Amino acid sequence: MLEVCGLSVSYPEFANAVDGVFFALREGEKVALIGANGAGKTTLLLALAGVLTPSEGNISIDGVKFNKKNIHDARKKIGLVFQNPDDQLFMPNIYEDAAFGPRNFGCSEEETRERVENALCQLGIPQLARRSPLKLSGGEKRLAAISTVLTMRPSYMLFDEPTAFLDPRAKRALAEILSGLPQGKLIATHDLAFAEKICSRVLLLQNGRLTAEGGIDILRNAALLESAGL
Amino acid sequence: MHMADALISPAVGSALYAVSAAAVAYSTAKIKKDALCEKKVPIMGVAGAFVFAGQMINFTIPATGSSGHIGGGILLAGLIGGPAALLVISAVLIIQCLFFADGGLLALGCNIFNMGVIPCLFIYPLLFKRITGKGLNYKSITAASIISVVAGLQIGAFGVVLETLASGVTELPFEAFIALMQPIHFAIGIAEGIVTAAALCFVQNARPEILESTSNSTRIGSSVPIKKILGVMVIVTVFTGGVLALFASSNPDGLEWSMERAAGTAELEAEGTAFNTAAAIQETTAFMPDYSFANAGEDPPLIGTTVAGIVGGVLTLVLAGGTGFIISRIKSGKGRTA
Amino acid sequence: MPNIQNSVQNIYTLENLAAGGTVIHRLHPAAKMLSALFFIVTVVSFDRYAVLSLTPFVFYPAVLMALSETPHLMMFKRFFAALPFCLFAGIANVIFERSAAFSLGGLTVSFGTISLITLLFRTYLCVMAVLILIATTPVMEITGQLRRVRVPAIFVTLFEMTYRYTGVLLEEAAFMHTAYSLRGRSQKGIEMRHMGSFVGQLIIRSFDRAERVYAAMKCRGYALREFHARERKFTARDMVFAAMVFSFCVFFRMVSIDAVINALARF
Repeated sequence: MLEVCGLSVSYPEFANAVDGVFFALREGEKVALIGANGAGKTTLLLALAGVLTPSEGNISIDGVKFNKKNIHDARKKIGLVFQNPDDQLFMPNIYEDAAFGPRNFGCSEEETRERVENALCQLGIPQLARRSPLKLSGGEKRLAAISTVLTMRPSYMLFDEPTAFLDPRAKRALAEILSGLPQGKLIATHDLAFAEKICSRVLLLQNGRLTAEGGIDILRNAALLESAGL
Repeated sequence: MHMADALISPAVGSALYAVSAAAVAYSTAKIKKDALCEKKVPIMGVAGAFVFAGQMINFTIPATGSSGHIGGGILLAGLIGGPAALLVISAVLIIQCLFFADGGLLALGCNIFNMGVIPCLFIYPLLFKRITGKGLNYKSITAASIISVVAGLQIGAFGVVLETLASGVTELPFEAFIALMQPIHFAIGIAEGIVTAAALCFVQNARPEILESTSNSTRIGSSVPIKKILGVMVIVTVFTGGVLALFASSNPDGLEWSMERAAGTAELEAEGTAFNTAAAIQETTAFMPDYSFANAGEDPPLIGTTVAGIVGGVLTLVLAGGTGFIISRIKSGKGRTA
Repeated sequence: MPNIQNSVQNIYTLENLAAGGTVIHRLHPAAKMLSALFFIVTVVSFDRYAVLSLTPFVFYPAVLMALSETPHLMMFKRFFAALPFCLFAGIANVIFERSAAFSLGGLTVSFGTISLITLLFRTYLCVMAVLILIATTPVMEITGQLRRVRVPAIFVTLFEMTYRYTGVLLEEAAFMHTAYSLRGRSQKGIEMRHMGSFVGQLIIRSFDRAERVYAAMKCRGYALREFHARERKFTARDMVFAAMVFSFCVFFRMVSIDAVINALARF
């Protein structure tokens, strides 16, 4: 279980971009994190992935709290897929990018290859291995970015606006693939239809605070959504 | 200002390769010591791409109708520091050489030296940082940028002149070459300096922490290593240049020298009739040892041999082209049947 | 702006070509890199009137391009990129070296002209050698080879990232440029007084992107260390290729073709 307890994150010029958030994500659970632009979704995800250090509160996986010493291990268990695949895909071809994580975590070359091939097959993109990200379509880039996280075999996956830059068909394909992945997922999005399709639970973030939590019926509460800027 | 392979001799090319490699190795070692080294790599990578994109954007120079583009050495050094900027410029030059035929594989050393080492490792610490040392503000940034870019381009252009002349591919007299290169690059330098200044001021205004962190992190002990690296570079240049010049004076070029060592004699006394005839032929035509055409000032060769030469040359080209064509035909034929 | 679009396209086409699977593509990157370098060094080691001795060297690009199925015309266009400076030096020779080398039917050809032709020819050969290398070898194979010969990870990773983000930032710059020229007075370029903020804006975008890239790398356990590139065997085929290129170069360097032709003409 991924647990977040009283988490606050501040930037030098912006105090409490995330402000005292509590929630838990069980293994295999699919949760949507919705909120308007600037609500703090990305900041929360970056903190969960161990990129930003919380100013208050803590994060724990299976009861073990994150700290400076175990952050490297924690990152193995949590994979973050960035909003813009171009930020994530930094190597000249997809294979090398997908191999980057396992190599960093000390996998042998054989194991790395096996993981990369598995991940690419799981996402249905084995043909992209030697391609460069330069001319891939939006949908292909998104899947390639997901593959770079899948190869780390994380227990939880965090997605930041996975439907950004996608056309409707690619969105449907992505929804299917995400539903098929066994990991616990936290999906930050303001694409409500997409969230409704995949997720069983919803978290609503407003100005850094968690203002609502519950089943997907939240997504149909027009008054609540309007007040949250959605 | 990119020099091409065809413009330099192997001796000049390898001497500057050695110098630039030493400068790149020095910069790599320097960055490795930086506590933020890990973070610097993505910044440098994206900065390299930025330089590339920046060089593609032309701006119009008022009242002249001509256009210019940014070069990047000083701008980058101002943003990420001298050693990091040198590595970035080197990576950019390698990509330009490989993918755009801009510069060349052998000329890479020359290009990295003229456009990277000079602005990043010399001009930036010795001029730019001296001027901005008292405080980062629009005035100091503007003065430092313009002076540094102009100085960097002048010295770089001078480097191009020296390297080209030392390679002996052009008859252009030194004075004429200088008279052509320096004023052009002075004008380019002024325009580029102004744009560099404006860009750095923009960044200083929007994100002061970028420039400040660079000017602080590289300030510590920057005077000592520069002397050290200068010393190392002088030694490397003198050594490689000197050794190569030795080959060159006893023998027209280093390649022949190394072949002589490898084969035992300069003219490759191999067995077999082909070599013997070739050697015999070379003896009969000894009045033009290496040259396709006789040395200047000597008797011009017979018209017959000249015509034969041209016809022979054209035939060789046709033969080569024909071979390529036949291979392609065979290959495409195979492709169709397969 | 067409200039930027061309550059993106350029990288893309070369990348596509490099993904091919011909005999040449399958060679070890080290064999191809060393051969190209040796070829260039040989070509530039000739003196500046040696146009005839250089002619046999056309076999190298002709044969390799045919074997690797590389379109010649497209590569030939790239040759013009290298031209301006070479032309400048070459034309200077025409002006300063007026002594006659030979005359043919009343037309006197000077040494300067011969050296100009030699220079252009030499430029062509060198450019082709580099382009063939890159059109038959994916970038990752080249950087893999650099890792194997222990070039520091900082530099190799930097190179890979620069290569990767060149395409991304060129596109970004192209969008900014289009947006500018749609509103700007001139269709040609950016006015100099706007160039500072245009470039400054691009710098800030680049730095922001670098931050996000760094975060994405950190999430995947990024630590700067030398990871070993996959070993790759230097097979007999690679050896044969390199040996052929080397001996080809050495042979035509030693035995000058024009001497052969001249002697034949005398018989």
